Amino acid sequence: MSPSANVVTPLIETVGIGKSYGQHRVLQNVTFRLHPGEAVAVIGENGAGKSTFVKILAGAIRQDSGELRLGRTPVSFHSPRDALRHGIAFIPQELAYVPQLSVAENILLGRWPQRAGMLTPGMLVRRAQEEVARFGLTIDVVRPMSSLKLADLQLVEIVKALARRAKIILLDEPTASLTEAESGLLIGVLRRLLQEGVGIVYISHHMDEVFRFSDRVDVFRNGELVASERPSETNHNALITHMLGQAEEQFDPLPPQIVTRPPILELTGWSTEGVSSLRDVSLVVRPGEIVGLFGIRGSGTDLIAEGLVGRRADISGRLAVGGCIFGMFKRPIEARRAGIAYVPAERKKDGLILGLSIRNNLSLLVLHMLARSGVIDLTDERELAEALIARFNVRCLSQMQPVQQLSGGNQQKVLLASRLAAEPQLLLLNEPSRGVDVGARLEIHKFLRTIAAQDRAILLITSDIEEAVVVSDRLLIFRDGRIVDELIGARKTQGQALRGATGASIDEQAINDGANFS
Amino acid sequence: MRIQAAISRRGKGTLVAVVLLVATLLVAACGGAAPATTSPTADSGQSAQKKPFFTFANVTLAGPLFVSLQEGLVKAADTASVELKLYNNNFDGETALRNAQLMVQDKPDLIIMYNAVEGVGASLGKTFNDANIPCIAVNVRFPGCAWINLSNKDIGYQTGQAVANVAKEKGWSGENTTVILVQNATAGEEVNHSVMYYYQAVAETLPGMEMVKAEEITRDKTNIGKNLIQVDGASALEPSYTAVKNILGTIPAGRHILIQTPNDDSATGAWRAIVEAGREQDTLISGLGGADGIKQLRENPNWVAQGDIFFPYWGQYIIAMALEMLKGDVPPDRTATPQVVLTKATVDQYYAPGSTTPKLLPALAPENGYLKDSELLKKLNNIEGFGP
Amino acid sequence: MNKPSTMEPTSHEGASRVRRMSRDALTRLAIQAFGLTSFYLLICVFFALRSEQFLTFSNVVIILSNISVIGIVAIGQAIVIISGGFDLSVSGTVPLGAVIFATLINTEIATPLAMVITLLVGLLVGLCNGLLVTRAGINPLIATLGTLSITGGLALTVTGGLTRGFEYPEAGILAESSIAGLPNHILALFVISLISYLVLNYTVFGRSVYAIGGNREASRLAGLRTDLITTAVYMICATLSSFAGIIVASQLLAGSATLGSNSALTSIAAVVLGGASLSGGKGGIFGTLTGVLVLGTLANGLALLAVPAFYQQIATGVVLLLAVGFGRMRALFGVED
Repeated sequence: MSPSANVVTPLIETVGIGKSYGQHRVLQNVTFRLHPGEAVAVIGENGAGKSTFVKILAGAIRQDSGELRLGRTPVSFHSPRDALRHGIAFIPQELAYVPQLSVAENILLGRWPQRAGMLTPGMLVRRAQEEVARFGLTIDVVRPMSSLKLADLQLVEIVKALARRAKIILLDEPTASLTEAESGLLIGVLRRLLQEGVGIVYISHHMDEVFRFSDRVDVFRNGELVASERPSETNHNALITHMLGQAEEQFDPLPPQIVTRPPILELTGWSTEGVSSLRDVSLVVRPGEIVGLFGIRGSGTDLIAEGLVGRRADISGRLAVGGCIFGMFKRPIEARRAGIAYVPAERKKDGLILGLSIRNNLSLLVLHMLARSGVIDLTDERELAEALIARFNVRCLSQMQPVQQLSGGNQQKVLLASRLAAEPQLLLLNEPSRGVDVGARLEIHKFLRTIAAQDRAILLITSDIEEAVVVSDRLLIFRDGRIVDELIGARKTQGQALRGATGASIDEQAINDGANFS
Repeated sequence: MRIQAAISRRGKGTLVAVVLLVATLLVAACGGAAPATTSPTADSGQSAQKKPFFTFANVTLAGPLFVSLQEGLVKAADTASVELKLYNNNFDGETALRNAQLMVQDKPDLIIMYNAVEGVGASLGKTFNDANIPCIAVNVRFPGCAWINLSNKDIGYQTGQAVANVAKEKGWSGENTTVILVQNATAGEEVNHSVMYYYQAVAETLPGMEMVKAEEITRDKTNIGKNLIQVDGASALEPSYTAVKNILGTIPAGRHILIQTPNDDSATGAWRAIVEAGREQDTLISGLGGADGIKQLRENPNWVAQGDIFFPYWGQYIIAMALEMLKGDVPPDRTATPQVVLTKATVDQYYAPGSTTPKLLPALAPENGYLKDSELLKKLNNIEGFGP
Repeated sequence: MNKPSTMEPTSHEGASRVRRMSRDALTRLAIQAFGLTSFYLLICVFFALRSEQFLTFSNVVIILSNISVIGIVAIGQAIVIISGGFDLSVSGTVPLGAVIFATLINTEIATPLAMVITLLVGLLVGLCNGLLVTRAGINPLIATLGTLSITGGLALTVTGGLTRGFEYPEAGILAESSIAGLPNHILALFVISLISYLVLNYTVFGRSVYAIGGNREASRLAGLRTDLITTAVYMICATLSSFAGIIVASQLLAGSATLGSNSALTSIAAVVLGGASLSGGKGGIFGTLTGVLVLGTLANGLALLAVPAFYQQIATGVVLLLAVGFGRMRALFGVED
């Protein structure tokens, strides 16, 4: 027992817990504490064991060894429901809600106020509103859940957890799919909770956020908790060193090249009306350069991507690829034939065939090139996959492993590799490092650089400001469907990009405080 | 508030639904009650020239027998100037019940119901009785209605005797003969009498067969005694074929086989399995039903008996029975349909060579003797011992 | 196409981790293999011990000839299910094929011509299914339920509900034996299985079927012709079904609207038993055939053991659930996704 009597009792602690699947040890000897009012960030590469760890805390998985204590009492949870009864709420990355029901009905799901078996809608709405108001949120609780933005969905999920008076909140990459502004809002709510004495554990890949928000950063590597640091006493590079077990591979953006060669992609006067619109957008991408498009949600950057892959035939304007003029693409296959390869933002939904093997995903776009009269040359296919896996450093058991078993970073590498297998003239990427660990993110950025150096054109659409600034040679800033700025060289800074995207003069500190500017 | 609106709308929706339901019920009740006083049936007594109106629900139209039954019935109704409305029960209990309700609404003078699904019979009878409409149950009986049917028991027994006699002449005996009964496990017991009594007759006739009483050959048994194997052929072509094929292997080669089934489709399927196994020389088979079997009886040396139930002609007996009932006759417990077991020797008595249309129907039996005064039957003049 | 060159070797630490994990994968593979196939062998051992008849050549032929019809339907069904679809209409296409073939035979046209016409009718049914699903955007379940009703009704109409016997029994050539005492329809099953296996695993089309079933939108974005492939898949299934109809009619030397009218459920059961997922993208010919074999062997074995009809149904249900349970066993040993 610890002799110090005045130590605050932790909300939850683990003593030497471990977990194995067969021979594969995913977690070992983790000792961890969470105190009231404390925010702990858990970081690590994908596969480092952090998800397993959080799932053990949440009661979704049971440890093989070690002890889980709540307060000072050893506990073991049978299910997440059981954990929830003990005041532990887990908010997974993939939210579980009923889209058809209203926000209020979701918040109080399973505990709808009723009188003699009949729902009492008035009471339901009133109670949900109280819960929402507690956190200073303004969400219309009678709206159907399906009409909400992702950030609001996440907030509703948190409110739902707190409506059950959770004392411990576990979040798995809560900001992965949120814009900077939305993350700010979420963090604001979490801060308020910390003041109420709630303990928060969250997995993150976002370094900035980790520094901004957490009281402590716990680093996992290969199933072990290898470091526990206070943000004020460490720095970015030190944490990455802990995560990777080696020093960070510094990524130096190349100086912008002066390119005068004919453009590979040329958009002229793209316009469309709608909730998010485009107004007379023209841009060019030349061989060997990476052009970034940055804007807040709804600024129109998504429309450029959709238009270029044949999902938005309603856009008007002109389009030339490799010198050939095309009508607006009506089907994805037309874009592919024109030499455009697309890495979509939602890799699980729009990108990969999760159930198929790595090899089959890698060859999907080039099947016709690997086949003679319809029959695939399996040797060629294997060799292609081998080469791509090596080139993109995909970590896998074998080529035949289903893609769904890979970590997010490796999945993204497979997706990228499969697009490049087709040797496209133009590589179009939409949020290429969303939900990817820091290591893979750096790798992907490096690959983009290499690809561009092979005289291909890259159009990078991102809402990750750091990525936008670091990776692009030229950064086009979108606001309300227009290009409002083009940043090159010394002007290419995060502050400048944000100023352009928001149209407001704000400084970086305001963003850090989670000001809502969307 | 949208949610309140939504929920109260839901509440209103329920209310509206309830109101509609009540209204529908009321209208239905009134509609049911009101026309009863002014219905055509009520004044059927005063208009003697008015055609009688019957409704008929056939068991199904998927099967040659049932189609021919319906054709015969329609023809007989035409001949007797009876108006007839047709339904199809589709081999389905729920459909039969729904049809029964519709038929009652037609307000016919008499309802003819052919339902083959056990269990729903009682509700059918009740539906008709509640509406006070006389009814006839065809083939499968249910309480509350008069019943017309063949005797599967007699057919089975006589077929067994006929086949066993052929086997005896060939020198087969219980020592070297197996009987395969291709029952229909989900049909009523009455249907399976055709195979159950078949075996009893064979056991009584052929020396050395192990005696098993018909009552002991229940539907959940397979191997009974040393001479009897029972399989389920569902009275249909393919299941009978598969069932017989599967068990043929368990019967040693060279052993003689007798096969009986509840209908011709089933027998045809079973025979295909025998031929495929190359065992036709050791097999005697018999049919029950119609034209296919007659053809087989003439052409196939091993198809030695054919239970003929003259199914396509049932219609004239049913219509005759119905007309007698309207006149006030009370039919016996079972009104018999025509039936006879044909052998190669007797087939020419009823069928002209090469024809599968009977030239004569067997004489009336005690169970349908009361039809001897029927105008319809006299007019049709196709029954042995009948004349205008 | 240029072969991309290796940019950097995998790290040393990574390699040892990969080695450790691959041992793990081997044990997992062993467990997976202990799935349906071994369960099937268990069934066979059980029946062989209980019945002398079971393992004889003639009984094996009987089992095979009992599964050839449903096997061919199940192969078509498997391709549809892998592509993320569903085909209930096989229950109508099989009897339609059977009655059309029987009717054509009795018009004295040449048997091969009758077969071709019947197959074309199947192809047409499949085309309708495909267009309903892709062009009209109707859910496959509803679309094929509709065509099931139509084809089933047509089958009844063609024969007027009668069983139509072959007037020329020599037209039942598919049910005759040519090689090694095996009926031709068993050979047909072998050939069709082999071709489907090759097509699914070695052709662009086959790969596209898996891709579309795994993720339709991603496949579309990757430039696959999803509508074309979907339509083709339904056409294959319906053509195979009408061929199965020809076989069943040839076996019985008669066509009737009730022949094979429960094909849809049985074939779907076999496909899913064989490891396919109803949400698509998974499954294969080998598994499907094993599924069909389990069903056929079970029926045969229970008959040989003289299990009464009612208990056969119960036993079939229990064994089916057990078989699925065996398939799921691997999930218990699975590694975290």
